[in-house]
Amino acid sequence: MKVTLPKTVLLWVAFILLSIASSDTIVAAEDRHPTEIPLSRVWAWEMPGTKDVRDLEPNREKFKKMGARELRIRSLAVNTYSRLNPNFKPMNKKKGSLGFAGLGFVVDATGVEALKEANLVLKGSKDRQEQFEAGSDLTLFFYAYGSSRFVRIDEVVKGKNRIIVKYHFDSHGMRVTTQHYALIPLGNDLQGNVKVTIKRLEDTRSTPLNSHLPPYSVKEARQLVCESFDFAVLPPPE
Amino acid sequence: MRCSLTFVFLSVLCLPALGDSTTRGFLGANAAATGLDGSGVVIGMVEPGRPGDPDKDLPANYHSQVNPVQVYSGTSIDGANSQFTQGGNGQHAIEVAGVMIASNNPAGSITGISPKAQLHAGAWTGFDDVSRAVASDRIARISNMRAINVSAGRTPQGLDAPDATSIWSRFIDWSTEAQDVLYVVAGGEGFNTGIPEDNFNGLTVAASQEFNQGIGSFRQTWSGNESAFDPAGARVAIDILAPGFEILVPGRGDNTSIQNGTSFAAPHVTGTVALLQQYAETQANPPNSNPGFTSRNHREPEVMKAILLNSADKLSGVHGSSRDVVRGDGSNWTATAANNSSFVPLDEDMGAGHLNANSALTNLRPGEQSPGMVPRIGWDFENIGAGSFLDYTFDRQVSGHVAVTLAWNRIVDKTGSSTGYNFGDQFINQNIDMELNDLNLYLMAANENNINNAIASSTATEDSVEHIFSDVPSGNYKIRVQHTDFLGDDQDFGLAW
Repeated sequence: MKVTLPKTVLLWVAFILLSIASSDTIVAAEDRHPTEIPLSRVWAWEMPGTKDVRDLEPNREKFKKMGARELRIRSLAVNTYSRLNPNFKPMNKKKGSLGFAGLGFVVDATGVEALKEANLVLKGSKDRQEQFEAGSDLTLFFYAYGSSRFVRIDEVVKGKNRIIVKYHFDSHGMRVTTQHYALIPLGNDLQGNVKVTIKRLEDTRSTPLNSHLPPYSVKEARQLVCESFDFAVLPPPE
Repeated sequence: MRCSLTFVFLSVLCLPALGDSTTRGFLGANAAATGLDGSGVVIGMVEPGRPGDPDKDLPANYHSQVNPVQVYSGTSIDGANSQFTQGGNGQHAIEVAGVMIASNNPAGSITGISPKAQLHAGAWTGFDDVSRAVASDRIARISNMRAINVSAGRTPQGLDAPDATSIWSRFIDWSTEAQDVLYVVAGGEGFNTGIPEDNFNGLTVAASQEFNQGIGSFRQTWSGNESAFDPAGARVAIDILAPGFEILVPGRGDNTSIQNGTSFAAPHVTGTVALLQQYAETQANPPNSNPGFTSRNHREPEVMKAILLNSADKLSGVHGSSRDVVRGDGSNWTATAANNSSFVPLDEDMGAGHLNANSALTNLRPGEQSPGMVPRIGWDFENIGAGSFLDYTFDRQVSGHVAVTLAWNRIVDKTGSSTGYNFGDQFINQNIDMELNDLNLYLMAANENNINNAIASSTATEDSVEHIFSDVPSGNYKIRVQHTDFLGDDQDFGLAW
């Protein structure tokens, strides 16, 4: 017995198959050999396994003799840290409540120059850049506004045109509010439209002091940690 | 005008040379103005880690300017480079210790509130209330221990609530009374709230930040979370504000950083206790032998608590206040329930106000007084019988703002030794009403005997603090302390005015 499916059903099946293929399958095909960017190559403010971002600044010794205010002015690393304290959390002006932390971003620089660029973007002195020339040596700026939980990066995976940053919140019980940021080197070999996915993993507790503290809700996490975004690496002009 | 501009310019230039203004300075605890450094005073701290000790640990684990007298893990002296010096816990401990005792020897950018105080730092070895209590007890038993800093806390678990009935909170209230040591506890940070900042007998500290720089307006850091700070009942958890925003702190390996949180507010208060004790002991000892201090009652935690709260800044220029302190909504003390209701002694957002070490010293200086005729400023440690009252009559006419603060201890009983807490000891789980006497405080005309005609009163029923801050016309006044529990026990109290 021959069964003939209606044309609309066939079209829907084709659409669904195409959708599946055009998302992860295609990405997977392009990223057949995704690589891990080791945390030991990441410059960050107090994240285990990373390099201390304060070591990026030349002549770090001089900062050891400065007071808090001077440190905030003279040290780019400290100033950037300070820019993420809860006073700077974006507000939802219409509702008068906290807004979301905003999208992560990429800067066309590495090392201390990347820190400078990221600082300017955080301050609002420079717009987030969404397009870059091929061959640019790029750095991803990951950030989290201050909260009573640590933010830890677990893993950074890089494909040809996809970056995944996995992080988690860690509750600790010390009465501190900490903000965090990381400069993740992306290299100069990205091409086309690049999707950066900021992916939250399960919360941890570095001490059992807050063992009954509920995990942050999705909304709370969005208010604290930068979100996924896209950028484009344009081919060189003909 | 030229002079003012020059001053401002020079002030900015001199900031590094002055040390960190947000800690010891005018915009911080106002501790530098006391001219004291905590010499000879023994203080402690206890938390999950302990600061690296330059006398035994590797440089990667300590900061050269932070040198505790001794370090412990649980009830033992800790070994070199132990797990307690490592990672976030070790880092946090150095930061907290630095706010108290960072010294300028060797020279550096950080000077603590009481750089010459003798700090004993303990780490607890287990993450349960009993382990925390045992580790705290080890520190509290050290001879002449005056104050212990606790810059950590936990959320309520299971059936327990932030109502001062957990083992940890009961321990703090028991130890305060039994071991005569003031616990200075960091208030909840962000959404963390609960234990042990729900204690009655210690001092719970919230973090302040200056939000109107140069004008000197302060409020609680991240204000807006204040509702989370209220323990069960009508009592508010926060007793006082202290600097806790972008505080310069030392770190492991001689690093420095800026940090935020009540973890750094609390040691400002603990360090201030060291300054006050240094002054008082100097007065008590020969050659001074000042009779206002020879009773050694300045060592009583109720006295320290009463003086620190009484001298807290509220309104700039008023009652020695060096700054304006406001709630999250911008309103000042005059708009608070604490100001407008006799049943609420402290404000949920600012406690009694902002720590001012120099004002606290001013309050301490006249020495201990007794009921009867008293000077305009003073303090007393006294015992009052159930159902009775004591009057303190000013020896002169008084006008303007009068602050009066009364503090007493909740009495917690336990099994086992009366002088120490050990594994296996059990706190006797009584209703708090059975552990807490009700004392009230009145400001009255000197010739008045009816408390219903008091000019101002503080008559909370669920707290161990009463506080009056009242603007009075010129006249003759007296302070009355009344013990309203006619069937209760005698009660020791500290009073400051």
